[in-house]
Amino acid sequence: MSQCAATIVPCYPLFQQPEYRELLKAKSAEFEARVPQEKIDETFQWTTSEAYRKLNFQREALTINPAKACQPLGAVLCALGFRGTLPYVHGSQGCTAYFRTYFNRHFKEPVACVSDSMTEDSAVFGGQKNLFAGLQNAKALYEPEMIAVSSTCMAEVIGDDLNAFITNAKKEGRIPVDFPTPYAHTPSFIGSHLTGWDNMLEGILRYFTLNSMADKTAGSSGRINLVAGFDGYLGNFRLLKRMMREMGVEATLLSDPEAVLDTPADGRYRMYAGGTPPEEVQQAPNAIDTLFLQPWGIEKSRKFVKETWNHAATQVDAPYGLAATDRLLMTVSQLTGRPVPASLELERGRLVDMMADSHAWLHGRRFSVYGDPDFVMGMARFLMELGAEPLHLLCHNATKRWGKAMEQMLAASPFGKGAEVHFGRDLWHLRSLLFEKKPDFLIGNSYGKFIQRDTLHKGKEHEVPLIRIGFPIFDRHHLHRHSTLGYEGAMYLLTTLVNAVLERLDDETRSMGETDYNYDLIR
Amino acid sequence: MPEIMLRRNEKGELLCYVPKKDLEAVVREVEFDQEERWGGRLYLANGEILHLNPLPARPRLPLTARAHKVTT
Amino acid sequence: MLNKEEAQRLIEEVLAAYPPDAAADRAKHLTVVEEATGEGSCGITANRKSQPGVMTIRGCAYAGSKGVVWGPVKDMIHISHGPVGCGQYSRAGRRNYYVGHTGVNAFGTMNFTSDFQEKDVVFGGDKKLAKLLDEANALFPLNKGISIQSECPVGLIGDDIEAVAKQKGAEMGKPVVPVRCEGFRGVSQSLGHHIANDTIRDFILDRQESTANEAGPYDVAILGDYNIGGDAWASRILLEEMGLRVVAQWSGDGTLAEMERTPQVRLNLLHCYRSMNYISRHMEAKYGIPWMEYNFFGPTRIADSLRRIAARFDSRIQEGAEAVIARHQPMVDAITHHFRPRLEGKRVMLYVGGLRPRHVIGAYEDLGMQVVGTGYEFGHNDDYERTNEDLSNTTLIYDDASGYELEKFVERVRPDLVGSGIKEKYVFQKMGIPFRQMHSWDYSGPYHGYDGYAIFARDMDMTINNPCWKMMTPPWR
Repeated sequence: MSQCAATIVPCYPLFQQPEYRELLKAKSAEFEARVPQEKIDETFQWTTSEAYRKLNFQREALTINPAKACQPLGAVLCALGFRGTLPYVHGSQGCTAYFRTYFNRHFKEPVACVSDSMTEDSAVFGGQKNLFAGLQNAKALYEPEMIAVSSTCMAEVIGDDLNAFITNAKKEGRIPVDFPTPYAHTPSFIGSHLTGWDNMLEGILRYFTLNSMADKTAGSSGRINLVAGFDGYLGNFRLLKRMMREMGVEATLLSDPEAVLDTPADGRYRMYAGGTPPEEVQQAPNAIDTLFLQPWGIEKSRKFVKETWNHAATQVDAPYGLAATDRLLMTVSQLTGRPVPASLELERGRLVDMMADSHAWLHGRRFSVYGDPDFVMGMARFLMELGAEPLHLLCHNATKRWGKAMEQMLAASPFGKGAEVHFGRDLWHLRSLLFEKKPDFLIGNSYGKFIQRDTLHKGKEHEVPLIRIGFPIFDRHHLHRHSTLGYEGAMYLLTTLVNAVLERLDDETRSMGETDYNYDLIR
Repeated sequence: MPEIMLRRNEKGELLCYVPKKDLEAVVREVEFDQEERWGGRLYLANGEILHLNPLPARPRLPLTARAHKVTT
Repeated sequence: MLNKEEAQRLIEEVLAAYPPDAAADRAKHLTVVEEATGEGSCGITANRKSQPGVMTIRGCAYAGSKGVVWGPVKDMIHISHGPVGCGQYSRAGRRNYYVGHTGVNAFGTMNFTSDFQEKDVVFGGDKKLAKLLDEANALFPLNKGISIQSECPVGLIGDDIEAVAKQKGAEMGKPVVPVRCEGFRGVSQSLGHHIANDTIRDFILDRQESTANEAGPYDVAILGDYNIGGDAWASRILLEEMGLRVVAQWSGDGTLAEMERTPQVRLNLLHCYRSMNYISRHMEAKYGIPWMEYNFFGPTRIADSLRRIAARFDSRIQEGAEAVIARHQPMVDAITHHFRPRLEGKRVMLYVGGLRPRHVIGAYEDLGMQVVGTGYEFGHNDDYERTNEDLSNTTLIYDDASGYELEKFVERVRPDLVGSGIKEKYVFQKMGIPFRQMHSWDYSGPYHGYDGYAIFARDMDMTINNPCWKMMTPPWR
C-alpha cells in the first residue's frame, strides 16, 4: 500500500517505494528499448572528457541550454516599470503567455500583459486589424494610463509597422489621440532580452520627450536619472532610490517595477502599482545626467539620451561590490555637488568589516559565473575584491568587445590571472568547461542546477555546487527581493557566498568517525 | 465533401466525427440500415444531416468515409 | 452560490466592460448551466480566435506540440527551431517526470534550439538546421530520433524543413520529424496537439510497420497522460495490478519504442481526450484498435473507469479490477474520512486547459466539494459536451476566459478555492482566495490514481485551511 492517510507523500518519496521502483524498472527493461547501462555509463564518461569538450566547442549551429532569452521578454519588464502601464505584445499570443509565466515563476507575482493574438490570416494580411481591436479592448478592460507596445518575431518577419498601425488606430478612434502608446520593435532573432529592454526604454523616452525638447535644458532640474536595466532583483530598485535619498539627490529611475512586482496580499489585486510616472519621464531631459547601470546591456537608449537630451551619459560600471559602488557614488557626487553622506560611508564601512570577517573563507576560492554581461563583470570584480578567484566567466549574450574589456579587467588583478572568459557560449559549453577545470562553486540562475547534477553524477569529488544568483530563479523562494547592487547588495552577495562555502564544508565533513575534524561549531 | 469517421461509443451508439470541424455527434438515425444497403442520410443529434453514398453492405466500424452536408 | 439569474446578470455586467464587437463575441463563450442535461455543449462556442488585447490565458501551437505532446518523449531530442525565447520559456516547466540519464539517453529537461539570428531569417534556416541535426546526433549519439518544433518565423520565411528532415533522417537512420507547429497556427495550444499527433502518425507509426513485437492479450497503452508529477506512473500501477500490460505511455516518460509498438495493443486508454483523440482515432481506423476515455481523478471515477476498462477484457481482468478497487478501499475511506469534514461544502472554480475542467470535478465531489464554475482554455465543443455530464449544480461556464472575466467572476462568486494556472495564481492569492495550480499540481502530485487522490486531498486541504488567508486584514482595520 503506497499511501497512508496519516503520512501522505508526494512524488518524492512516493516513487521511492518498492512497488514503484519495480514498476519503473520493468517499464524500462521491457518497453523502452533502453540502451544497456554500460553503454550509458560509458557515454556519460565520454561527455565529461577532453575529446567531448573539443567536439562540443566545434558547434556552429546548435545551441544547447542557452543562458539568454528573447527581446520582447525584456520589453515587457521595462514597460512594467512605468506607472499605470500595460505591456502589450503585438504578434502571436503564445509569446505573451510565456513571458507572463516566466516572470510569475521568478517573482511569484501576477504579471499583467496582453497580446493581440495574431493568427494565420494576420500572417497574410498583416496585424493592423489585431492591433486596432487589441488597443481598444485592452484600454476598455484594463484602463491603463499607458500601453507600451512591443512585437514578437512573427510580426517582425511579416514586417508590421507599429508606428503606422498605432497612428492609424488613433485616427480610427480606437483609442484617444493623446493616449500614451510608446512602442518598440523587438525582434527576437536579434540580441537578447537585454536588447528588448533597451529598445522599449528608448521607445518610451522617445515617445515622451522627442517632440517636446524645445523647453528642456539638461541640468535645469538638478536631478539625476538612473537606468537599472533588466534586473530580476527588486531590492536593487529600492536600494538605488535609498542611496540617492541619503545623498539628498532627487533621482528618477527610468523603469522602476519594484512596486508592481511586490504588491501586498490584503484582499485586493492591484494590476498597477508604483512605477516611474510619465510626467517624470517628460521632465527627465532636464536632469543633470542619465547614468546607465548596465552599460553592456544598453546601447540605443544611451544614444538617444546623448543625442536628444544632450546628456553626457557618464560612463559607470554596474555597481556590484565595493569599488564600483564607490565610483558610482563619487560620480553622482561630482555631477550634483552633493557629498557622499555619512550614512553611506557607514554602510560602506560595515561592508568592508564583513569582508574582513569573512575573507579567510573566501580568499583563493574559485568561482565560475554565468549570466548577463554586466552581472558577470560585476560579480567577477567583486569576487576579486574578496580575494576569491573567478574561473570561468561565461556570458551568452555578450560581444567580443565585452570579452576584451573582461580580459583587461582580469589582467589588472592578481586574482584574475586564472580566469577564462567565454562569450556567445551556452550552458552546455559551460558544462564541458566545469569538467575540464573544476571551480569550487558555480554562480548563476536556476538552470545551473542541472550542471550541478551532471558534475555530481561523475562523482562527489567532481560536484560543482550552484549558488543561485541571477535571473531567473525558479526553484528557491523570495531571493529576488534582495539587492545585489551597492554596499547593501554586496553584503547580501558576500553573505550568500561565505555561507555557501561553510554549508559545503559541513556537508563534506558530516561523516561521523571519518571527518570529525573541520566540522566546527565556530567559524 | 468533408471526411467523416464513424464509430460506436461505449453505450453502443453510432458516433460521427468530422475532423475538419472537430465535431463529434451521435447519429440518431441512418436512412438505410440494412445488411445489403447501408448509409444515405445520417441524422445527427445536433440537428445536422449528412449524406453518405449508400454502401452495399453494413460496414465494419470504425469507418472513414466522405459525406456531404444536406441543407434542409 | 449564485442562482441562474444572478449568474446571468454577472455575465452581462462583465460583458458591459467590453467594446461592442468584443462583447458580442465574448457573449458566445460565457454561460450558466443549471443542471446536467447529458447532452449538448452547454450552449457555448469554443475553439475560436481569442479577442485581441483582452489578456487571454491561452498559449500557441508550439506550446501544444513541443510543450505538451512531443516534449515528454524522453529519448528523442526536440529542437526548438527558431529564435531563442520559445525553448527557454518552455524548458523543464511542465514537470513531465521521467527517469533517465539526462544528456546521455534522455533529454526531457534540456533546451535545444537553433537560436535564429537575423541572417537565418533573411537567408533561411535550412542550412543551419541540417548542420545542427548533425551536431546534435554527434554530441548525443544515444538519441533515438529528433523532432523539429517550428517556431513562428520558420513558417513565414519559406523554409523546407521537411526536405532537411527527410535527408537527415535517411543519413542517420533515425526518425527526424518536421513539426509545423508555428505559434501563429490555429487559435490555441490545441492545433499544436493535432499537428503533433499527425506527425507521430506520419513519421513514427507509418515509418515502419513494426510487427516485431508480440502482442499480448492484455496489452494496452496509456494515451494523453503527460506524467505530470508522476501521474502516469500512479495510473500504470493500477492497470498492471488488475492484470493489464501497459506497453506504452504517451507521452509522459514515453519513448520512441513505446510509440512504435502501440499499433499492436488491444485497447488504447485515453486520458486527455483533447490532446490525443486524433491519434486514437487514427489507430482505430488504421489498425482497428478501439479506444476509450477514462478518468483517474478521485475514487468514484477511478473505480468506474477500472470497471469500464475491465469490461473490455475477460473475467480475469474483471476480477483483477474488483480486487484493485477492494484493496485500495480502506485507504480511500481513510483519506475521505479524514479530509471530507474539513472540505465539505467548499466551492471551487476551475479554469484549466482541455481535460481537467471536467475530469477533476469528481475528485472534488468525493471530498464533498462543489464545482461552481469551470471553463477551458482551449477546449472544443466536444469537450463541453463531455463536461455537461459531469456538472451537478448551477455552474458558470467560461470558454477562453480573459484575465478580466476571471477576476470579476471570482470576485463576485467568492469561491473557497480557485484551481487554474500560474498566470492566475497570484492574482487570486492576493484577493485572499485559496488557489491551487491545476496544470503543474502546484509542484506536487501525482493526482492520478488512488495514490494521487490522497495527495490531491491533502493539497486541497492544506491550501484551503492554511491560516494565511485569515491574515490579510490587519487587526487595527
